[in-house]
Order: sequence, then C-alpha cells, then structure tokens
Amino acid sequence: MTIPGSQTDSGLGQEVVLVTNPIVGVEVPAANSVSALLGVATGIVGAVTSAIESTVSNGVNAALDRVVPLAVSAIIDRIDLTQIVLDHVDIDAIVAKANMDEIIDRVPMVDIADYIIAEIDLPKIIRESTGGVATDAVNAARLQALSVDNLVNKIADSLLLRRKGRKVESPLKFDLEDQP
Amino acid sequence: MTSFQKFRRQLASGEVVNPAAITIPKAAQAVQGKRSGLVTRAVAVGIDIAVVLIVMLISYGLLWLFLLLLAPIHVFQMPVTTWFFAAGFVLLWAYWTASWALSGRTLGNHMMGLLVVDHQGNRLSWALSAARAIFSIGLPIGLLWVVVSPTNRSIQDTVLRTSVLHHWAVTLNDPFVKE
Repeated sequence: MTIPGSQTDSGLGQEVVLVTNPIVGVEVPAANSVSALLGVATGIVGAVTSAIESTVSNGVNAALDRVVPLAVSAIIDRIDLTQIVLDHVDIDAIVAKANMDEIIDRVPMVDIADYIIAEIDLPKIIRESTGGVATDAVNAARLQALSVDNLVNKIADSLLLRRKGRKVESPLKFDLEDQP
Repeated sequence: MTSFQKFRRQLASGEVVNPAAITIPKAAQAVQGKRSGLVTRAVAVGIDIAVVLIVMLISYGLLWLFLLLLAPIHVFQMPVTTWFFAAGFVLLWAYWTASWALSGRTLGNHMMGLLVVDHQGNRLSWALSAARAIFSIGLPIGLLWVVVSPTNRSIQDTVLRTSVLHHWAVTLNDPFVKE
C-alpha cells in the first residue's frame, strides 16, 4: 500500500499546499463595496416584499374564506338549482353513461333479496302456487259439476214455468280486480 | 328480462292478468260470487261425509288397538251402529260448525270451490254456524230446495239467510280465513 504524499523517492509525487489565511495588505477596490451594498439592499427589499406578500395574501385569503361562502350561499338561495339542473342537464344521458355494474357491485343484493323474500312472504306464495296446480286438477271436476248444475236449473226452471231465470247474485262484493 | 317499467305498462294495459284470476278457468269466471247449484253443493256434502266417515273408522281402529293393550284377548267387533252414527253426526256437526265459522269452507266446500256466507256476505258467526250445521244434519232433504228456489237457496239458507257461493280462488290475505 502506498500513500500518494510519500512517493517522493519515485519523483512523480508533488505536494500541494492550500493557503487559507487572508491576504494582508491588499486593498479592496471601491466597486466591490458598492456591489455588496447593492446585494444587501436587494436582500432586504426581497425580504420585505415577501413579508408584505405573505401578509397580504393571508389577509386576502382569510377575507375570501369568510366572504365567498356567504356570497355563494346567498346566490344559491336566490336560484333554484334543482330546476336549473333539471332544465339544462340530461339526467337520462348521465344515467345511461353510468356504469351500472359498479353501482350494483356496491349494493348489498343478498341482503335486499332476503328482505324482499321476508316482506312478500315467498314461502306463502310457493304454497299458493302449488295449491294452484292442485286446483287445476280440481277445476275439471268443478266445471263438470257447474255444467250439470246449469242443466238441472234449466230443467227445473222450465218445469216451474220460470222465465226470468234465477237471482243468484250474492251479498258478497266479489270482484277479481279487488283481489290482492 | 322484463323491466319494472315494462311490467307496469303491461299491467296497466291489461296484458298481465291479475294473479288471482289466472287460477280460475274463463268458463267459471262469470259465476264467481254467485250462488251455487244443487249438484256442486251435494258433491261437497258428499266429500264432507266421506271425510267424517274416514275419520270415524280410523278413530275406531285406533280405539280398538288401544283396548288391545289393556286386554290382550280383546276380540274385534264391528261398532254398534246406533252409537257409531250418533258419534258420526256429532263429529259432522262439530266439523261443519268450526269450518264455516273459521274459514267459511269445509273440505268439501274447498274442493268444489264454495264459500258459505251470511246475509251480509260475511263469515258466519259461531252461533249461526252451529245452527246451520244442526239444521243441515237434521233436515238433509232441505238441500233439494236449491232446485226449486229462485235464488239457489236451500231451506236452511232461506231460514237462516245464508248463501253458498262459488269462490274458486283462495288468495293471499283471504279475508275469510281467520288467522
């Protein structure tokens, strides 16, 4: 291992000496002092300017923070924003552009389905519909009995010389439309 | 897939039939709520009597098996006719009373799509139901008056101001069924 400063025997190494002491006795030219003064002045002016800027902007910001909400709410109070949106915005177009999958992904579908099943009483509906299937089988027998009834009534009416027919309207207000 | 909007439009235009009406054949829709004729009612009564008879026989069989536990050499005997029929009439009376008072329908009524109502179209009260049941058992021939009556009423119906109606569709929230 060799140290660069110690290779004097080879003749290649040279020592470098740094002089850090101030030069005494050399006069500084006058132009230098003027530029230094200018630099100092520029610094002071810059500092003052930035202080003023920050102060003013802080004040203005604070004022705006107070005034703008009041002004905007006053403006919004005076206009019917909903009506303006309804008049000028094509909501259907927005809905058409909306990504429904994203929306539906955020909807708790299973919870809603459980709620609906509970609300509409699905088991009861299933019982009703299976009852309906059984009714289909029974309907044939009912219809046959009905037609025999009509025949019997017709014969009886003709034997009793009854021409007006039977009054079979019931007191029950039976209306299919009213059925739930 | 039918959207909700489309479904509402179809329901408004009548394309979607009311669920209650679907189960009723078109031939029978006109008679809904009208008083029934003799044959339908007689078939319903026949079904009721058959039900009671079956229940009686099963009960007697179970009673005999129970007696067999008490006395192992118990010989099977046919029921005494008088008591058997007396018990049958009591059972039929209780069954008709409860059915008409609770739902307006016995099993036979249900099979034939019939509904028993009072003069206002309401479900029968317990007293009226019991009276109608005992009257029907005591005077079964009164049913034949349906053929003669201009309003399709039996003698029991005429006296007690009741009606037996066609009411085929038993729907959700049936106001007639006592929960």
